[in-house]
Amino acid sequence: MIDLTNISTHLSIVLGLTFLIILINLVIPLRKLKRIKKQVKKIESA
Amino acid sequence: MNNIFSTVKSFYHKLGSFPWFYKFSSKFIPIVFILGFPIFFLGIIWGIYFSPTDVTQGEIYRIIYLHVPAASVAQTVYFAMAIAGFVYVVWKMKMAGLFIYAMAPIGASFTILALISGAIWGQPTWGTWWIWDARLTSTLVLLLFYLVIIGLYSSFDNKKSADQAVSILTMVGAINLPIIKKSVDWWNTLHQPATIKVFSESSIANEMLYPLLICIFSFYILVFLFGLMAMRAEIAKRELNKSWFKNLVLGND
Repeated sequence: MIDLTNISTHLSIVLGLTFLIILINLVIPLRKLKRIKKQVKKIESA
Repeated sequence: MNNIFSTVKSFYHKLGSFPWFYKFSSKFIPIVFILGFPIFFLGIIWGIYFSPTDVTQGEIYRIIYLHVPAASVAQTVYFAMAIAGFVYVVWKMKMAGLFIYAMAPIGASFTILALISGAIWGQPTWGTWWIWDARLTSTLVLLLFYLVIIGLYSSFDNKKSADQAVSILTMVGAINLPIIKKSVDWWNTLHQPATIKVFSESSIANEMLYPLLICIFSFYILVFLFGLMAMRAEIAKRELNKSWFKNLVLGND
C-alpha cells in the first residue's frame, strides 16, 4: 500500500495529465455539438 | 447460421447510416459513461493506492497504471483507424472516413500521455527523460502519423478527397504498429520487454497485474466513449443542413 506522504511529484503530474486528457476528450465534442445545435436553431428561426 | 449472418450484415449497414448512428450513440453514450468511469477509478485507486510497492523502483512504478493503458489504446486506436481506412478505400463507406477523422485526436492525446508518462517514469529510473531507442522512437512516429492525419484532413476543402487521402495515409502508417510491438524484441532497447504475456506467465506479480488489467480495460471503455462522442459531433457537423438533423434538434421528430 502506498505511503501517501511519499507520493511522488512524478506520479502526481502523470495523474494530473491523465485527468486533463480525459476532460479535454469529454468537453470538446460536447461543446462542438452544442455549437452546431445552436447554429441549426439560429438558421431555422431566421 | 443464416439468421446470425443477416443480423450482423444488417447491423453493419446500419452503422454506415449517419442518422441511425447518431441516435444509437446518443442512447449508448450515457451507458458507457456510467460503466467506464467507475471501472477507471477502481483500477486507478487499486493500482496507485493499494497495490504493493515495487522492490526495485519503489513507488514510481505506479506510473505503469497510466502509461501502459495509454500506450495500449494509442496503438489500438490507430489499428482501428487503419481498418476504417481500408473499408473507406474499398467500399467508400462515409462512416469509415468520419471514424478516422474523429478518432485521430483521441489517439494522439493518448499517445502524448504515453510518451510524457514514459519520460517522467524514465527520468528517475533510467536517468534520462528521453532516448532514441526503438520503442520510444516508433511511438513518437505514431504520434507524428496522428498529427499528420489531422493536418492532412484539415488541408482539404472537399470532405471526400480528405477522407480518401487520410484513409490511404492511415493504412500506410499501420506498418509502424508491429514495429512498436516488436521493437523491444528485435532491437537492444532500454525500454523493457513486454510485461503482460498472453501465452506464458507475465513478468509481474498478480497483485500488480490485476489492477493493471482493470486500468487497461477502463481506458478502452473511455476511448470507446470519447469515440462515440466525437463521431456524434462530427455527424452533426456534416449533417447540419439535412432535414433529419434539423427535425431532431428542433424536436420535430
